[in-house]
Amino acid sequence: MDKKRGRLEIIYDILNVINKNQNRIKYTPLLRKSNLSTKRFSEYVSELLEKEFIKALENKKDKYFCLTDKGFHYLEKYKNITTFVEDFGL
Amino acid sequence: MIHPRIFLMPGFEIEIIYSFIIIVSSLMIYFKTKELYNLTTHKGIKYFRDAFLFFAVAFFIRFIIFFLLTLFEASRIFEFNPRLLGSVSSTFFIYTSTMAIVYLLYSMIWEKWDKNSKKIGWIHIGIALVSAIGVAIQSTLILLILQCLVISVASLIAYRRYIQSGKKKGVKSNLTIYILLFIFWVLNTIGTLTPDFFSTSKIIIYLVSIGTFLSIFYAVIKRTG
Repeated sequence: MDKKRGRLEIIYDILNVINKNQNRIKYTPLLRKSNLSTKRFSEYVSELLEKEFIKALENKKDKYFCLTDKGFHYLEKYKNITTFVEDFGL
Repeated sequence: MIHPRIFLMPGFEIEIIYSFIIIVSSLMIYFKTKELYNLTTHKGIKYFRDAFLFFAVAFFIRFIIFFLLTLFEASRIFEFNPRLLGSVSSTFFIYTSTMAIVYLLYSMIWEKWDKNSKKIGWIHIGIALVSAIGVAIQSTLILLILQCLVISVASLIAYRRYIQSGKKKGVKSNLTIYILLFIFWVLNTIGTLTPDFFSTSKIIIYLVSIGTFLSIFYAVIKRTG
């Protein structure tokens, strides 16, 4: 069984799913691919929207999520972040 | 006006250089980790940064104490009471230096301890009170015991993390840095509170302390990119 994901890893996974989906994904497939409960997923999405890691785009039919520059920056820096946290025992 | 003889005091230049390097490296660590914190709002990173902010402040106050002690004989040129100012700055030095170590420890245990957000506030109050009492009754021993206790706990936790990581190389080098930092922090505190204690080996302790801080700075730069 996989180790329980931490907050930083969950954020990375959500952003990575969006990125791998040509930076445009609907709510339901993102929820499914994020492997989280609906409640936790909503909390994370709210946090990511609030921190401007992602933005919501709406057209007549659907609502999509895509990454912002800050979101891409998180993906780039993720390895540094995890190495830093792990090595300094934070 | 500052008496020109201060600049002729033996060791004054060394104190300036030493304090400058420690303050700058601590502040560089603080600012270098700002981006990681802004991206993650990770509490461990926050407390780690706070530790180095307090290190910088503590060394700044330490320098002020040295400055006052050096000028002590020339107190007649001052309008204020240097003994009172010395006590106040000593209290602040002990408070900030202990808080720096506490924050370093807290950065490692925050997940278990941070459920009550007021806890760190109470720690601040407790350390400030102990520092003030220690200076008031002129018992540096209480303060040293307090710092040694925090340092011992932090070192043990760092060691446990190292074992848990499967003796990972990166964690090992940081464990070494932490232990060195903790040991030399205590030596520095003793040196500051009892200025004659290290009259012969002061320069060696300063060099190792600088080496320790620069090592941490290098480790931070290497990981923050």
